[in-house]
This record gives sequence, structure tokens and C-alpha cells, in this order.
Amino acid sequence: MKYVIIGNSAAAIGAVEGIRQVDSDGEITIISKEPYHTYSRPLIYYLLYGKTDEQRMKYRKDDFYEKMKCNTIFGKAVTKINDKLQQVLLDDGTVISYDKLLVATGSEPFIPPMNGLDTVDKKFTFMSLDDAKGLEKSLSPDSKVLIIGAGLIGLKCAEGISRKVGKITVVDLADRILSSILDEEAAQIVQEHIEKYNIEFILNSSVKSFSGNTAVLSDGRKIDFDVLVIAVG
Amino acid sequence: MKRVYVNEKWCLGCHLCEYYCAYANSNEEDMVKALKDIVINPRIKIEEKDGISFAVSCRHCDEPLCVKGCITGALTVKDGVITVDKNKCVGCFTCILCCPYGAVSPTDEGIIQKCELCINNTKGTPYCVKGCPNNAIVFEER
Ligand SMILES: Cc1cc2nc3c(=O)[nH]c(=O)nc-3n(C[C@H](O)[C@H](O)[C@H](O)COP(=O)(O)OP(=O)(O)OC[C@H]3O[C@@H](n4cnc5c(N)ncnc54)[C@H](O)[C@@H]3O)c2cc1C
Ligand code: SF4
Ligand code: SF4
Repeated sequence: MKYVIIGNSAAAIGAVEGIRQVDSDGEITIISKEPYHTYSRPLIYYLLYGKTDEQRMKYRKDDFYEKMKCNTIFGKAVTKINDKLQQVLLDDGTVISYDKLLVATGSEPFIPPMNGLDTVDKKFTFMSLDDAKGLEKSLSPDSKVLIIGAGLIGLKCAEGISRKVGKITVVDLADRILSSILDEEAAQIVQEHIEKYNIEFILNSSVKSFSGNTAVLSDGRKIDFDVLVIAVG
Repeated sequence: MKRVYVNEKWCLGCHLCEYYCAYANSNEEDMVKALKDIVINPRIKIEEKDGISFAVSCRHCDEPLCVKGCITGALTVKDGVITVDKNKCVGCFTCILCCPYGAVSPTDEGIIQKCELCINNTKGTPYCVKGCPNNAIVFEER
């Protein structure tokens, strides 16, 4: 049996361990567009915070693929699946065939349409190790950071960088922070706690447009920033 | 695999197993030194209600939910024993929420601890079992 798994994160690793419980010989190939050993995605903010490092972030030990007898193709994206021929096509033109295919590609960050986003120089999403590394490089002790989205990812990002920058402003459309998991009363308590760390919230508001390093909000207010993080989903 | 099993009929609720656990995992030679003037935070805990008591510690599940839930890969299965890599754990406590037995608990340093059948301390074999005066916990193959 030839298994091909697209993805190299929590779901893919769980699948490898599951397959090896029932099939110790089948050929497993893992393909991932990220050029890294499997890492713990939630830890990208701990990395910025300084609570972990790239070695300790590894979701499984260094010898995981060897022990599990997996072929790995990292740093290459799958661009096409041909289910009739049971083949996947990689971005470098390689064709790989399979008997069973698992697509464990997770999710992509959502970027809402905002006028002038292309005029913003330093902009990031916060979903991957590369995002975290890129963001870290662009920060300085007096950076003003604008984060769009006061959900778990936006706030984890804020926590991760709060000691490294001058000021953080978080904008969210909802009337409270963490609106998908907290009611108003709880959100208020958590918000007051976070505000102690030099993080400011602008709620009930969204960014209408950008012009370079200035964001214009739905109520007309303008916010200057150096670095933008989009974390709306 | 040998595991720690409970004979609740024999448990006196004396909590000695908890003290033996704390001692074994202190890696201190001298029991008095290890336990003097401290509030223990053992990995085995006595549950008691309505005259019934029994010791609860990790079951070393065949399908450990704590390992599946661990966000960092700090929890792993080593020859059937579920162990934690303290260097990797970030103290998110997902495993505490996942374990159906309440067998994972926070350490005083803000990460987690759980029974590792004393394979990672100097005792080498479950010391709670050694300390139980009434055979209410046993270490055996079933
Ligand atoms: C900042 C942050 C904090 C989080 N905190 C927590 C938390 O505390 N607790 C928790 O439970 N969850 C948390 N999550 C969510 C958790 O990380 C995800 O649920 C989990 O990573 C999903 O795993 P997955 O394997 O489905 O997909 P992903 O982790 O998204 O992995 C997708 C994989 O597919 C690969 N891939 C995608 N497209 C292609 C392609 N075309 N070709 C080849 N490879 C491809 C990628 O390289 C990657 O390896 C957090 C997420 C983020 C971003
Ligand atoms: S900690 Fe809980 S879930 Fe994990 S192996 Fe032990 S009993 Fe099972
Ligand atoms: S507290 Fe530690 S061991 Fe438990 S899930 Fe989080 S990282 Fe894993």
C-alpha cells in the first residue's frame, strides 16, 4: 500500500501514527510546503515570547520520520490532485502516485478585502513559523503594531510580541474581545487584564482602508502603525 | 504491560501512597529531608467519599487521550509508559482537560506532572505500591 499525505502538522502526524498501528510496512510519503520538521503551530507565539525555541517546538522527535519509515518531501507544494490516475503534482513538476491519499492541509488565513492593503509595507498573518520569523525580524523596541482581530490568534500574537514593541493596537468588529468564546462580562475581565500590558483595544470597529502606514477605521478615525498583523480567521 | 491497579476494598484512605510518590519524585535520598515542612503535590491522589476510598493515578491507556491532545509533543508513549518531556511542556494544560481520570496535574513550576511508574526517578519501580501497607494498590500484569 502506498500512502501519500499532504500536510506535516497535527492531523498528518496523527494519521502516520494511526497507519503504523495497523500497517507497519506500507510506504508512507509526507509532502509539505513548509520546509520544516513537524512543529507545534500553537507554539509560534511562545517562540516570539521567548518561552521555547525551534528545537523544542518540534512536535515529534528528530528521528520520527525514520522510526515511522516515512519518505518526506518538504518545501514543495502540491498544486494538483488527479484522482482518476491517483497522482499528485508538485510545484516543481514532480508527479507522485498513491493508493491512498490524505489531504491534511489545515487552513489558510482569511484576509478581508480592505482598500489600499497593497500600500502597506510590513504586513503579516500569524499562522506559521515563517510568519512568526518574518514578524520578529520586522519589529523594533519602538514599533507600533496594529493587529486586526481580537480572537485567539490575534491576542496570542499580541502576547507574544508585547515585550518587544512600543505599542500594540487591536481592532475588532465585535463588541468584545474573544467574542467566539467569552460572554460580555468575561470578555471585560480579560480585556482589563490584557490592557495592563500596553495593548489597546478598539472594538465595534473595522479598518476601511490603508494608505501606507495609516489605517482608516469605519468611524473615520486614523491610526498610524509600523507593522500590520491580520488575524481575523 | 505491568500497571498499577487498585483494590478499593483494601484502601484505608491513609494517604501514605501520596507521600511515597512525593518522596520518590523528589529524587532525594532521605525521606525525612524530602518531605519535611512541605505541602506535597503527588501524582497519585486518594479519592474518598461516603466511606469509600481509592488511589487514582495514570492508567497508562492504550489510546492515551493526553498524548493525542498534547499541543507540543511533550507527552509520549515509551514502551507503553506515558511520559512527559519537561523541557518541551509549555504548561497549556490541554492534557489536564483531556485525561478522563484526572491523572495529570500542574507542577509547582507551572508545567505538568503525571505518574510515570517511577521509571524516570531513582526508585525505578512504583514507590506508591511499595509504601501501601495494605496491598490496596498493586503493580502487576493483567
Ligand atoms: C497562533 C496559533 C495558536 C494556536 N493555539 C492553539 C492551542 O493553544 N491549542 C490548540 O488546540 N490549537 C491551537 N491552534 C490551532 C492548531 O494549530 C490547528 O488546529 C492545527 O495546527 C491544525 O492542524 P492540521 O494538521 O489540520 O493543519 P495545519 O497545522 O494548518 O497544517 C497544514 C499542513 O499542510 C501543509 N500544506 C498546506 N497546503 C499544502 C500544499 N498545497 N502542499 C503541500 N503541503 C501543504 C502545511 O505546510 C502544513 O504542514 C493555534 C493556531 C495558531 C495559528
Ligand atoms: S494521563 Fe490520563 S489519558 Fe493519559 S495515559 Fe494516563 S490515564 Fe490515560
Ligand atoms: S501542559 Fe504540557 S504536556 Fe500537557 S498538553 Fe500542554 S504542552 Fe503537552
